[in-house]
Amino acid sequence: MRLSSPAVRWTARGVLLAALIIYPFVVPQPGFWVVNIGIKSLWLGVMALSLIFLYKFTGLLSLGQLAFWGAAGYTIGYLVQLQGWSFAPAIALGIVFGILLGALVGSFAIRASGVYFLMLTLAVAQLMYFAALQASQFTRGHQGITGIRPPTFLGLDLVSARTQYLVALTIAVLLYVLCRYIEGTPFGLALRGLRDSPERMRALGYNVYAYKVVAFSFAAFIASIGGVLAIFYNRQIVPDGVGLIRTIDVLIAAVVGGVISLPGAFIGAFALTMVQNFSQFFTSRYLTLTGVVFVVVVLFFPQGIAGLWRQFTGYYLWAHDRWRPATRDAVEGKGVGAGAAQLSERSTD
Amino acid sequence: MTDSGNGQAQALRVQGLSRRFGGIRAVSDVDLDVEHGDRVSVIGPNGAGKSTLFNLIAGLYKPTGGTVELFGEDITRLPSRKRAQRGLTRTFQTSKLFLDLTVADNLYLSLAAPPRSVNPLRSVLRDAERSARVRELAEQVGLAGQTETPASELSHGEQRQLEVGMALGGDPKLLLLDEPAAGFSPSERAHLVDMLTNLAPSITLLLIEHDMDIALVIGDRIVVMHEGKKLMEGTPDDIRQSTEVHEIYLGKRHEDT
Amino acid sequence: MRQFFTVGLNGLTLAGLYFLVASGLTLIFGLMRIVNLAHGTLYLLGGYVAWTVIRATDSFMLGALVAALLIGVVGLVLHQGLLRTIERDDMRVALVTIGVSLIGADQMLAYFGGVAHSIPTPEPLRTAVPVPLLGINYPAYRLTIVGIAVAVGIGLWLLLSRTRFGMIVRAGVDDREMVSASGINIRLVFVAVFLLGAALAGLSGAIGGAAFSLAPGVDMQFLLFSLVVIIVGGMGSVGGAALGAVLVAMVSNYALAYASSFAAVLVFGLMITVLAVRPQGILGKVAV
Repeated sequence: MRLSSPAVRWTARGVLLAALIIYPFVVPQPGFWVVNIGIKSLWLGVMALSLIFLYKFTGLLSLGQLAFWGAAGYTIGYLVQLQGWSFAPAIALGIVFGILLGALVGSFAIRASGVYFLMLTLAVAQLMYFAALQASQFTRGHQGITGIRPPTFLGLDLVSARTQYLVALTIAVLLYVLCRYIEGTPFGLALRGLRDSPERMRALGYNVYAYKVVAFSFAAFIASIGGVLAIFYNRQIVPDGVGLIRTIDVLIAAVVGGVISLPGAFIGAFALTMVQNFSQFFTSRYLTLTGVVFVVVVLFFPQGIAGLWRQFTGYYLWAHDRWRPATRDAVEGKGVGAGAAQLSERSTD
Repeated sequence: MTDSGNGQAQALRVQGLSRRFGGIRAVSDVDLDVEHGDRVSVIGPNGAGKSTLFNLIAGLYKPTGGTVELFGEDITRLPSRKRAQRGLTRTFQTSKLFLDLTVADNLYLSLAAPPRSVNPLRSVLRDAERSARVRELAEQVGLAGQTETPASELSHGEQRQLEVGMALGGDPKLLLLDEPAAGFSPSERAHLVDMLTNLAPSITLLLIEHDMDIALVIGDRIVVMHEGKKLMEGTPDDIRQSTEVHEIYLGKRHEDT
Repeated sequence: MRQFFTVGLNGLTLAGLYFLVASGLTLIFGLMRIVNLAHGTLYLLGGYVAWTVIRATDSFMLGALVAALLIGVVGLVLHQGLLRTIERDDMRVALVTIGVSLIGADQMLAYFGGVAHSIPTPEPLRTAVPVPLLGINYPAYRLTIVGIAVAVGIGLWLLLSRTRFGMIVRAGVDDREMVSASGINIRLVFVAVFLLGAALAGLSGAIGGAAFSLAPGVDMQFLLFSLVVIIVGGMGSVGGAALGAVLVAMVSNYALAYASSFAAVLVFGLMITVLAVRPQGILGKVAV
């Protein structure tokens, strides 16, 4: 039986899902393995999924996803903790606010492409950080909104680590399946089409701008859900949560996992969470370690963990090909930066 | 829009169309009338302004002067997607396919484009009606055996065929083909000519072709462009007999080789 | 009214610093399409270097000079060591520089600690001097910062418009291929511009460290604001950086003084308003 046949793939998926469900019941020290590793990987994975969805389908690499995470998180924290709302409407409003902010940011940011888009979204996320510090009547400034007690939903007590893990797992799986489903819809096809050739999409009659704004808003929706999960995990929301280091965390999870691979989001988030939790045994400077790992990945393994196999076979082909220089330009032209190509009008005659 | 059905308005009416790039007049003061169901070929040596004219009609470039009317409606200021929604579809001279997608998905996107109302969130696999149409189109352009092949893995000729298939998928009333035979082998040419002669008569065709043989076989009417201007217009026989055309065309070809 | 003027002058001081930092960033981007997201790190490191030298030698001038030179060299090493091989892929370059900024922030925290340092203001500039027309006194040092920014701005303008080097840089911004095809060693020009941009960041760190504090997080603050400055002013344009710096610094400073909760929100509003009207920034040339 071939390794890639559907039966093998479905069995592997089933085994993986079963293992993820059993996981919180079998690991020692649930406080560490279920919460610090499990739940953290899941919500960070959701954030990376938000970034990867956008990159895979539109070719836009965003550093601003935490802004929507923060918008949802702060809305919930403010309404529940400072205004005495119950969780359900606060969460709904938080997600709506995250999506609306996504639509607003998307409506101007997606006119840019490539590295310019990266800068814009980074600026948006950082402004969110400063806004969180400054608007203290809403955010309690530096100390943040703390002491948020996870609620009980439909009989599920989210204070319990296992329950919270299983809820987070369910939501993460649902979002992942949703992204995979969208891949096969006319909407998903259109997004992939406009990534390859926006001119052709226009010539066919598609409104490229509107599609991109919707895609950006959808990514903001995923990020807002990540914000909800993180509120349950952190039981607080503080400005540092939307700071640059966290922004880079999301980016690292996505890039290390493999920036065009949807499952890579969770692989990368898990890898990063493990490194963050275990690096203290051999270094006190885990940020330096993360930074070095990240730079090495970007320099030498641009397809991340999920693309390792393909890349090793690719190196073979590359070594094989490098004596035929004619093909090199074609390869380089398809790099991550190809999206930055500027629209210049020019006679093709 | 309102005139499009009654056959009175011309399919395409171009008046005084001009476009400058910096100091270069790529297209200057071109008039062109195309009746419903016409087959018009635009020929001319490289650099004559054919592609620019074409991109002005399709809406990729904005003209610096003149107007474009489609079925009686002034579309000079409309973006290309709105022109596509009014039944103007095109191919690109250099293929602009969705390289990561399969042939079937490329064709599907041309079928699902606005203004058709397609549920954007219903799985493509369940869209039996369009899947059937995809197979039909693939057959029509000679790609029936390769519907599941990614466009990036097609040969050059096959990519051009897919280009034509996608232009047809948009249910064109006016079909613009930009050098569809460029780089074709003789058998691929024959297939293309065959396909274009069998095109539904309701489709108006504007063809740009560097290759005189194809242009003169397909076109009922030929427009010759030279240095951004319309040099002459006539039947294929007129063109064959014109010494002027022979001079610029053959002269130019001489320089090429 | 006094407060209004003081806030305005504070804004102008900050605008001077933002301009000094952002002009390097925008020059490097304009010529090489490299977005150096470690630019804020170079600013803070420059401040720390100057702080160290000034503590040892008690000479502000020497500290500022060493900071500019050393950070110029650091920028050079960053460019030649890490970025050169992937130069054509601008996204990867940006990502690598983000990684560098993370490493830099952590290493600076290790060596210089989490507490804020401040460079002592040079002796002759410690007093407040009356400002003509406004009728208020204002620290001489801060006015000097504005002066330095104006001088550097004029210097850059002369360099770019009046010298052969500047001509090559401007031609390179418009069309890199053509310049390299004309036989000019564009590589050497790249190196020089990267060095200049980094040195400007280092110098700004020294100057800014005496007016504001040097602490973890300052690197990100300067990165963010220089990004916003060049987004608003237009990427690759030194004049745009000047205009953007004044706009951004004024909006954020007046907002901090009169509506402190919404300063970041107003800067965000400024940014999206400009982008809605002119996606390429106020003085930006290319459509992006």
